[in-house]
Amino acid sequence: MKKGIHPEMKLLTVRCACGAEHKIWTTKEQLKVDVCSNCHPLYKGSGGAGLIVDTEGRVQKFKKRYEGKY
Amino acid sequence: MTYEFIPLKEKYQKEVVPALMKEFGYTNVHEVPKLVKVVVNMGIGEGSRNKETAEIHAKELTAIAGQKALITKAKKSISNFKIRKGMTIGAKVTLRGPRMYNFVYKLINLVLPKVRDFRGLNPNSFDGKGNYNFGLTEQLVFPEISPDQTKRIQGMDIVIVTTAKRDEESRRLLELLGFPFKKQ
Repeated sequence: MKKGIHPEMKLLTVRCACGAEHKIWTTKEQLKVDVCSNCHPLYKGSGGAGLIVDTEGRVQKFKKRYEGKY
Repeated sequence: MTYEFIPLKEKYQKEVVPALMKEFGYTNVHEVPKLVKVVVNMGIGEGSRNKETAEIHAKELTAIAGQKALITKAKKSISNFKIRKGMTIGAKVTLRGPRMYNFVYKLINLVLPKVRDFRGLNPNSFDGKGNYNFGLTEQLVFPEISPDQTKRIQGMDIVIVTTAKRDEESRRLLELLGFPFKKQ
């Protein structure tokens, strides 16, 4: 690689909103991630209706509201 | 820059290689398909009329990849595309070795989950020779890019070149590395 033209990279532990940590090399000092492979429904294999990205607990709130009514 | 840790490479050596050897019956570890390179290309097209656009996007690519992006120029004039020879038409970056593994890890674990309405990658987008192509519609899915400072939404094409001879081998390699393919 040619010297002096590439950005410097640092090994950074990126913490996702779900608490999972990913160690990657990056050009930035800090990174914020709100969804990752640990919390995305597709990766967890729930499939179907579980494909709704749920970062605020909305699905659970909805389920709770209608609990026991049907 | 020294690499005391390369994301994904250990997983490839410890998990993917033995699994592939078992499944496809390779007798030598060198037969096992591996990643060769990843090319990220932004075809800027219409926005190429001013040179700054290409430079801005090249900078973004550089931040994403950790390696300086190349500004691509038209090889010849094509009047239908309204381009003349030598005009800037995009930016690309070719990643190999540790940077490639790092990029692929980031792609699988941080970038693809952020894609809007992501339902998995198309398992048929192989080229018949064991290479995989797909596109992203916006650069904002990368954690290095902050949406506030971005003026123009620009997608990109990503090519993953492997040593696999057939699509099935390549698909299995990428699957074992963690690529989220759509279920058929």
